[in-house]
Amino acid sequence: MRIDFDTKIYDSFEELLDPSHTAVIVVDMQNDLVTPGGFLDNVGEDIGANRRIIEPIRTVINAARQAGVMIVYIQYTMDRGHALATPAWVHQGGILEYMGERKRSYRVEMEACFEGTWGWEVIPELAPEPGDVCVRKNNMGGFWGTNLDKVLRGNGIDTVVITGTATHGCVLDTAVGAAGNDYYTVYAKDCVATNDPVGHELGMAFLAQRYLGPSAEDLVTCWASAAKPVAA
Amino acid sequence: MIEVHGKPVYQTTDEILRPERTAILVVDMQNDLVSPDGWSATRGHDVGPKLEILEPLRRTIEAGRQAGVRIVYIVYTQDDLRSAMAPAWIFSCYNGNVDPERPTVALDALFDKTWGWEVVPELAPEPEDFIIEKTRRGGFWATNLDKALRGHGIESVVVTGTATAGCVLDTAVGAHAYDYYTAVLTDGVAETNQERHQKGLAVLVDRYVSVTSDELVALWSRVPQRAL
Repeated sequence: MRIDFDTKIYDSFEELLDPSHTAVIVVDMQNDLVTPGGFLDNVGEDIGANRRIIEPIRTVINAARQAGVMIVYIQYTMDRGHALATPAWVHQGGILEYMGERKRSYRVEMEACFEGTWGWEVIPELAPEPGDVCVRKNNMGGFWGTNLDKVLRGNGIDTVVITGTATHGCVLDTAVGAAGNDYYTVYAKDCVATNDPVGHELGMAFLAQRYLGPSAEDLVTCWASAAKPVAA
Repeated sequence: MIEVHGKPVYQTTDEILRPERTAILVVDMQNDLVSPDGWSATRGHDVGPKLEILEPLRRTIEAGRQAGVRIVYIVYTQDDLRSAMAPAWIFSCYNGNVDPERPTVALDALFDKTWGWEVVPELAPEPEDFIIEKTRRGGFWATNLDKALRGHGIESVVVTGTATAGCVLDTAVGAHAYDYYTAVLTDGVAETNQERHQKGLAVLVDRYVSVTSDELVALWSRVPQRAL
């Protein structure tokens, strides 16, 4: 801890990630985006990268639970009547539809994650437990039009650790939102992914220059020592 | 224009950037960040890339004004008490390496109403332009930017200014999150560090509509001029 401009600022990794004021945010790890038989898999996308982060996220969540770190799940949510599909949102889906080499013929923003369906649910490997918080969002970032800030602020959270998908989309926007809302912003570098390899590179390059990016192992180590009872 | 799920969605650049529903967001083009005599330059940061965008930006703003595009200046604003400081923001200004010996522009410059805080003279605001003060990277955080745009029928924004991978990108993310059609002026965004600039621009171009100053000047010159 150091004092700068009369303000206390965390400046060590352990302080920053102290379980008492840290939350893990799991972004969009939903069946339609991650599970075989879900939307992305059905339209022929390679969900391999999204599946490879399941295990690291699971270890992070387990360590977090042991240490008393808050877990928050963000779920992208679309309604069957598409009331949530605003024109500018539909338009950006169109941009993403025709990204040069990465052309795609579907609009995941409009055609997946319908509220209450299996595809919308968090994947079983990372299933929320009683006491975890689930926040529904209708755009990329978890902080816009949601109660995420209230949930974090109201529970004394200063630091968020962002995990999930997609690296250059909802993960990036959630990181930008966290920083904009004055949270110490951390992403777990081996716990973010997307089915779009080019987008993953773009997103990782951006995240790395702005935020702290420890590995799942770094987090597990940090929280395992925090969870141990202090020797007398 | 196409209809999707019963809603009209603009498709072409002409439709999206129609002057009467478009605003140019000029982010942080302030003396302390851009001028050769400002805070950044006098501390050895290369403001060359920022000076290079002045002319394309000036031409774009001029064509926009003529055509009736709303011009909005977003200015990072620090008060003498630094009352808007917060721990995580200070931490973020130091990029995670808290070093009190290393002054940062977000903490030590851009004081309200000083010369360094003012928009550079080359892009000086006109009386009818909006000026929005902000205290974080993105122009939508804790400001009335959304209200000002929404209340004046703006549906689309062109994001310009500095820094590409910082305040510009965060403002674009905010614009999209607030449901504005979002475009980036590719020759009107800059940053001292060219590697960061390239990475930021790559994300912006990947995600939003890309336009150049030549394209916008041509587009907005074609529309009937505003009645005098």
